[in-house]
Amino acid sequence: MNAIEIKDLCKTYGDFTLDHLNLTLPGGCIMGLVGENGAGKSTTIRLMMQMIQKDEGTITLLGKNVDEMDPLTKEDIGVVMDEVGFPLCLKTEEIGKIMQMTFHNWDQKRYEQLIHQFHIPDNRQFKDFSRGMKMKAGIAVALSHHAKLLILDEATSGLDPVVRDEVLDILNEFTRDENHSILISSHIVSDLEKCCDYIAFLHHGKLILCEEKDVLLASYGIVNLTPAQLAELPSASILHQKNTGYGIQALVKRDAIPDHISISPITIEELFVQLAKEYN
Amino acid sequence: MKGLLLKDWYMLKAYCRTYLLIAFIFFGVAFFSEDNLMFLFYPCILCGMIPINLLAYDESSHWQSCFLTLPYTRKQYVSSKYMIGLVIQLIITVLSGIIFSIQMISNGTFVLSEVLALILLVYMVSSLNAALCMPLIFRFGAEKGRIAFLLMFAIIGAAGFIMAQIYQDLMSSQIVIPAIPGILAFILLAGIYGASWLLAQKLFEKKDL
Repeated sequence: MNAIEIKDLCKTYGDFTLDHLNLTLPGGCIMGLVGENGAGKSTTIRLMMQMIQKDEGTITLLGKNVDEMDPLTKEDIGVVMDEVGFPLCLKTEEIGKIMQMTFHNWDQKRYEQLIHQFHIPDNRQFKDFSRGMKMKAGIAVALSHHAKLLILDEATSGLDPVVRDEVLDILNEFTRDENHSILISSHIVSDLEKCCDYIAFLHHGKLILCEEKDVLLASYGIVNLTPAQLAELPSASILHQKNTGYGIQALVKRDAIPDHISISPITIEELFVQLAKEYN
Repeated sequence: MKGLLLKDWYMLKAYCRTYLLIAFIFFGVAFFSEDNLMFLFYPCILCGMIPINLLAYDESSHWQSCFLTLPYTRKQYVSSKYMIGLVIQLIITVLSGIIFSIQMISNGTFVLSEVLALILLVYMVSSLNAALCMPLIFRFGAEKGRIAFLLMFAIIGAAGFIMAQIYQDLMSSQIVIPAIPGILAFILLAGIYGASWLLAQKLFEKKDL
């Protein structure tokens, strides 16, 4: 079963349009949602959670259409939004008690273990937490009710590299169960590269590509050529190019490049940045 | 919905202690005062605003987005606020009734019908305040909702003034107006509160958060 199926999703507000988004996250996988500010990542997640109303399209989470979804289905979904959203006067213990009354599957021991592991103070109110601590508290809640699907909106931003690494380890551990899936949006593409099976790239409300990470890494590369050498390449194989002062550096599709040209591997971050520049 | 109510209880403890303190001071003054109605009504209006303030705190902390990620519906969220409102109205009405009764007994002027009339008035003040304000807050948000409420308050005030003029004219023309029985007034108020509850659910259902 697919964890997420989005078909022809549209939403317009102001001058932004999410344009016929189609996205599928297979069960047991982690998908990274990449895009610049205002690309539509948070809008997509907010539509999935019905925080905003869609204009068109269908969203299916864990096999259930969100328009007809029983709130109990949300027991199986752990969500951390950009603004975590817990009341500012609460302490972690109180948040735990509220969640205990909210989720049938609430695992208080797991919650306390994560609070301890993330070094979240239990004697301070949420308003006194740093952004990183707020995120960690949100992640602790999302991981403490035995969810099958995690949806994380910029959940690793604001965390220091050590904690980010810990969070990524926890996410990897989470998907060891083949029924567990994660959709994670982030600006920190290197984080996504570490943990994701699929990468979806949104640009100005349109899905530019959605592919397995390994396929992307195997399909694209960087070449450093002279302008004359570059002119010999099929134009369809060149996705982006820039003059470095020493020659032309180009993002290319590997399968259309002659064997004698040396192609350097590309990271997902480089691919994202170069594609974004090209589309801009 | 228990989780939503528990969350509101924690917020009440954190943010609304001052309201309770003010309410008790005013009730105390009302107890020792000759003309005590103003001192009784003020805390009722104040406490009637508590669910509205809880909504404003929810909005500022982004809880209105957060609860939608939990196994709750928008209707449950609206209901939790109206239930908190009901409990507060009940407490404030009972307290007013007790204080007024004790005062009347100690003065030797206890009349049950007067106490019941006062209880109804107190309930009306606290209930109508919330019933009129909450749908606007759910529709427009805390900031715009309060402005809309003030506008509506002004319209109602103007309407009340006109009604009073009409009433005076009727009185001067010797037309007898039957008094509305207390129980009927209570049912009417409960109906208004219930209608407000349903309206707020409707208005909040499709709101972008």
